[in-house]
Amino acid sequence: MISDVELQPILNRARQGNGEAWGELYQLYSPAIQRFCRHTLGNPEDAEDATADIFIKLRQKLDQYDPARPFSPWLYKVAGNHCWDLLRQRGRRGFETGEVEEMPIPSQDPSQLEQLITTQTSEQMRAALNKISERARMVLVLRYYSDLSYDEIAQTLELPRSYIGVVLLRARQQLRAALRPGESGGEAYE
Amino acid sequence: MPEHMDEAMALLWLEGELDPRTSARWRQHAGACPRCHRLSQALRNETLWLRESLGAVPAPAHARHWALWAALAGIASAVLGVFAFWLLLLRPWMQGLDQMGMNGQNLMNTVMFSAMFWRGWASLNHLLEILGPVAFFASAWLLLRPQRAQRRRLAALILLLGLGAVIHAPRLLAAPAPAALPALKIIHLPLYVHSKTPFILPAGETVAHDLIIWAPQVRIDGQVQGNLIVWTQSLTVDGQIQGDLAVWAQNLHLNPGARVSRDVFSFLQNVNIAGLVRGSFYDWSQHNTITSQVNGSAFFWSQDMNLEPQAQVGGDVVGIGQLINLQGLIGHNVLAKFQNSDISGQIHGSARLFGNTLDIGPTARLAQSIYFKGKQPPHVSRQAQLSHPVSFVRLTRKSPWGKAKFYWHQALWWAAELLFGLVFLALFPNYFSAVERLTARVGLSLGIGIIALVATPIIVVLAGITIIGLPLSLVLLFLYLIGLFFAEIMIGNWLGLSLPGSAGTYWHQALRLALGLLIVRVAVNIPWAGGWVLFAILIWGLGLQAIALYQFLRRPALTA
Repeated sequence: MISDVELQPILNRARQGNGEAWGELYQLYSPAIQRFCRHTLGNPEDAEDATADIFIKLRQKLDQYDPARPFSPWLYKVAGNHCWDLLRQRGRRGFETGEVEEMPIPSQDPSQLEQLITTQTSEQMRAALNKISERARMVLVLRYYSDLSYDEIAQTLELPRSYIGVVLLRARQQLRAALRPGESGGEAYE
Repeated sequence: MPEHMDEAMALLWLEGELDPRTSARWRQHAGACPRCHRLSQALRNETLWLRESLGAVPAPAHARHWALWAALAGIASAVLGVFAFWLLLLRPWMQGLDQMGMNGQNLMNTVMFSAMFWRGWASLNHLLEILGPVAFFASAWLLLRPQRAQRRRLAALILLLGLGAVIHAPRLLAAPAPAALPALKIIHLPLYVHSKTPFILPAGETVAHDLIIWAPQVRIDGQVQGNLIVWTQSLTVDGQIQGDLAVWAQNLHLNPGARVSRDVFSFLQNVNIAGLVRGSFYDWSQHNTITSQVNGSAFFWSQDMNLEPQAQVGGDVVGIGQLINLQGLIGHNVLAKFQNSDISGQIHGSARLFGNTLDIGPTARLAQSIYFKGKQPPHVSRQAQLSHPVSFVRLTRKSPWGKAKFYWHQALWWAAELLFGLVFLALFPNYFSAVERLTARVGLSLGIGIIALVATPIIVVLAGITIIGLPLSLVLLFLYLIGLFFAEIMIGNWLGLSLPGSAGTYWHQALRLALGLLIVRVAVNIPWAGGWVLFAILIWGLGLQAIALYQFLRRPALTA
């Protein structure tokens, strides 16, 4: 991936409306954004549409980008906001904020967790990702694919920052449950 | 501080979300406590696994499960689809061209098909000669087991997939390269503009991507850096288009000063090309006039085509229509089948012309050979400068019955009709029965057939040149072509059922259909009368289907 220093001239030209610069940006980032959308939205068709919309949105928002900060996290935040809005429109959000505090967090047996990791493939993990609640999926993707900080995730999901740790942990637990045979995964938390 | 880490605390620690002091204490504890060390290690591995799995390219859902079936269906539909496309549409056309004196190595194959559809098309013809019958016999083997309904359904599915491929084949073969797609997404305007008011791209403005416009009138004074695709009543271009221009409209005016850097595809009533076309020009229109320069070749399917004296076509001119008037300069060869052809310009290559009449005017300059096959001898002005005298062949109708190739093609055509007939007989036996019953109403079905035969193309054209009617036009055209093809099958079925003997079982009916279609094949190829027989079959078959369809649609719906 291109460094932020190399990226700055492209971003500057894109800000000025240069079509080639937009083309370069699209070629550089669209595969990653499409994969992000695929993970969060769960199907390739929606992901493709969302990627196109995100780049249109990017065009409107590029002036808001602070060149002193890294570009990728900012772009993922834009993408995350867009996908989160789409998931909201679907009307299938995960548990509400208040429930986060109330839910018990069972402790994990490390040996079970190790066994799970060694026996399940990446493909199975991605399949399980589609079975868990949308917020759980979103938080896992924002954290472990886009590498956003807790602060950035909190802003994207409009949650208090202090909840992110719990939400993330619950998401991992949902994923584990979805990976275990005979367990329905995140749907139980809906 | 509790004695051991719980999972939440361990995760916060691993994620770096604890304050430095607490984090240091847990680090120390995890180093000394096997239980907490194991938990943190397991969570760390899980994090790594999550990152790796999410970073990897996801495979399409159910890809593995359906891969084999998709591949099989794809191969079957591709082979059958291309075969049927060749058999039903291209082959008859090429047969016609063959009769015009052109063989597999000629300009038609190398230029028109190669350039318009696919560059390997000419060589594929030979492959299809082998693959087509193989696909046919494989499907027939599956089909001709009426007691095994599953196999019949499978064969029907394969054939329907083939039909689907027939519909999509031209578009797929002519599909643009995917490499151009990423630029489509980044736009000044929306990629697709649907407007109820006239659309104008003012001079000095640039669109840096492809543009698809659907508007009553469209005017391009600025620049489009990508491809421009337009549905409109009238398109006027004074600006520049750096990609291809594809237009469905009533009128196209490419004015002086306008420039299209690649090809122009037009489906119109009137075309006036006064601007520069750097690529080739593909035109399906009623009236076409070129007064400027086309750097590539020009392909026409027009009622009349005029190349004005100041016009230049850098490549070949290939066309079919009623009247062609070549007054300008043509850089390469001419291949045309027009009823009347006038040449008074310059042709640097050879010319092969077919039709009724040919007039070569005093200002004509032909650098290479000229061949004319027509009903009347050509009229050549004494002032015309020809490198070779006109090679004239009087058009005579020869019987094809003495050629083995003719029987092979007829057998293929018969087999295709039989195969489609059997599939549809198995799928829609009631429809066949309904059509057969309607044959008693000869007058009505012939009348409806004439109306359908004549009126449908008119409706297709009229609907196609309006914005709203284009989808209707395409659907209607598709139904019309299907109806024409099935007209012979329906009449063949009726003829078969008219023969004496039993028709109680599927096998009997299939045998009768085969015999009926054989009679049809023979009848439509009778010298002199065959064309009229075919015309009558098409009218009657079309009328029968139209009435049957009407009755089916008028049938009262069943209620629960």
